[in-house]
Amino acid sequence: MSYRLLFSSTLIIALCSSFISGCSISYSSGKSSDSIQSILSSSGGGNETKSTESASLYQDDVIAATVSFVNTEGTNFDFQNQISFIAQNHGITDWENEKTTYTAMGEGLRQAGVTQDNIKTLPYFNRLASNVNYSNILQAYQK
Amino acid sequence: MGVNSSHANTHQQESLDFIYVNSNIGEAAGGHTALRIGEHVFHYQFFPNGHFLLVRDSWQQFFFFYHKLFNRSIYLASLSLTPDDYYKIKNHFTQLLIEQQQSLQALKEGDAHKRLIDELIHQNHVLTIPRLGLFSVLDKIDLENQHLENSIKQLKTDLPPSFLKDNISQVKKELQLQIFFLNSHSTEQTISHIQQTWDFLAALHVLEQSSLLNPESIFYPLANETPLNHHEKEVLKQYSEQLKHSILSLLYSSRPDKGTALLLQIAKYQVIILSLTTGYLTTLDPFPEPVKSVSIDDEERIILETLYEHVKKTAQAQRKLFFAETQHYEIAWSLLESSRARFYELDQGIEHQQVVRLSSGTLIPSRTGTILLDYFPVKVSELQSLSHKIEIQQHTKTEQIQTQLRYHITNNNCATALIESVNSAFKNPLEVKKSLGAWLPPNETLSFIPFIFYQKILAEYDIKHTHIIPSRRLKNLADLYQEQPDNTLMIWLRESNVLSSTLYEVRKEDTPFLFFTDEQVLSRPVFGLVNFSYAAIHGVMSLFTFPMDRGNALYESSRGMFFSLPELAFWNIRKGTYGHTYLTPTEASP
Repeated sequence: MSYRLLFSSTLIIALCSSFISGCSISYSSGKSSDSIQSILSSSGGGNETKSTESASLYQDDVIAATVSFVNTEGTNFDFQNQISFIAQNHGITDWENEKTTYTAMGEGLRQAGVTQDNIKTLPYFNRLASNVNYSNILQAYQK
Repeated sequence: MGVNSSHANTHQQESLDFIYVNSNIGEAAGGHTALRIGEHVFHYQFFPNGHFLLVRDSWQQFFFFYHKLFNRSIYLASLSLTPDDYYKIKNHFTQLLIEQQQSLQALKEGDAHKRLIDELIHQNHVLTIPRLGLFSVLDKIDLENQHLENSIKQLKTDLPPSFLKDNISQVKKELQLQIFFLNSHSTEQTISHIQQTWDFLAALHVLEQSSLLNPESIFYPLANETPLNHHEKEVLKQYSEQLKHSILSLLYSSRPDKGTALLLQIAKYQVIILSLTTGYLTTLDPFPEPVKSVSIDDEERIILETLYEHVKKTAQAQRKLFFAETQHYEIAWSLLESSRARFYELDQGIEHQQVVRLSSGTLIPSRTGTILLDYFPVKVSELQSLSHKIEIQQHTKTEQIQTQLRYHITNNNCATALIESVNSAFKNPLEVKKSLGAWLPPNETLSFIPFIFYQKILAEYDIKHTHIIPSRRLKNLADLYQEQPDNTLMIWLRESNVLSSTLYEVRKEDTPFLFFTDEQVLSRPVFGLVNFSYAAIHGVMSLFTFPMDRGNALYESSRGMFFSLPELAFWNIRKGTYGHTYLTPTEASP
């Protein structure tokens, strides 16, 4: 009996202890007083990042934003502001002169299921129709 | 809106992995769950400010922290999906991440909107503009500044005569109208638009007056930095041309936020010209305001030397990568600027015993400045009502965000939030079932426990295969057994405890314990009892050091006893962890 009691209480304690820190505390925080941990975490583990890795993430984000823009029927103003926000997160200031922006938008339009004829009717894209970047969009769309 | 079938080849399959990371003390005693999509891992983490956030890490980074530093085993269950379903889930998680970042950004924007309205009410002739602080008006023009000024003047020759003056006049008129019509019912979008028009006006002024960089916003060359070589100068010249083109095209852009983009491009253009003039690399100070900072004490200075070399090498590698870049100059420059800034901070922090500023991710220069206001007629009472309205909205928004991002042990933790996000990628439970093989309700009994959640994934979803990556110590131990098959007993005896182990060094963060119990099962309660007693003895001894260490040793001992308790019931949590200082150079790279 006493063994059972010991076993159950140990299990309960074990269960409690296993949740003491929840799932996972961000490793970018660790102990706030641990400056070494903070420095290493803030520097992304202390390793170099290739621009292609950031560009690939940027592309993923623009694709997702374009799919969402189509699905929610967003406005030109909101879409451009969202692209600016995403671009800034990846170190891009002039996203209008970044080819990846348009290839990602083309990919996003395809994934959202927009027909090619309807691209020109969408806010933001209707202004691009005569623009050189439109061909980049179509190229990615048709890929 | 017309739709078509987005993926012609439906036979092609994509896969994603559900991840379970087993427990260890410290960062995640309850185990952890995540979703690997391609080369990235999405998972929910708890942050010290109380937020429970969706995070996207590279697989390398995730593996580095959870496996190499925190010494935890990783279990992966692969699910095959059609490309449509795969991209649906990937886009959904990415969009959730963007929306989360934007909702946090919206709070900051709300504060900026209130500041703008208050500045207009007070008519104190100054207005705060982000990134304007990167520039200053200098009385003394030295040779370097002369070069800078000439380069700006040169840039302006590509614009039609009186372009800037005409634009300034037109933008001012627009602003007058926008401000005149501001009232207590004005929307956030209207105020955003006014802020963005101000930013553009500020950028036009900077160009028109040929304003030069603020010396405080520049990271000048460090003593040990090498001068620019011929190739590097050529690359910088090429990049300066790209920036020049960018500045000119932004002036004609329809982007709502072109003003703030212009300010940054002008500052970057100037800092590149400065680099070319001095022959040394100079970059902008990209740390945000306000920013977290830490002070470095004497004990840490010694350990920091290892880290210093690491950060220095990263900065040097980013420099090399930028000068070898052929496609994404802007991204490569930002990465170089961020890594150089971190190295600069650490270098100056150690050298001059200063505090070190910290910020993660790509850093973008954003130093704020003020612009002098002309007189704008405003309806003060309307603006006061508007300011009050924004204040209430901000309060509500903050509360909403706090509620949305609140961690809850059973209802909103890494497992429940993850499954809820997976489910919400689809329109209804039927679609989820069709795509993944089952629909798992997020709040099902005990599925909030990561281990049970993973078992449910294995049992319910169409899992094609599973894979286990043993924890770092267990992996190294297995390698030892393989290398010396005739010596297994000796290896087991040596590596079973922290005193003689060659695969682990004692860390105070791991609490006092004697035996590893992660590879033991039958003997776990016995070893657990020894560990408990060992921690208890430590606890008694720490009573004597209590006045010196303010009870830290006693606290660690009680944690040691606490984490030994599950071992009595055949359960292991503690596995020992590895610190940054115990990593070999190869191991330090994820």
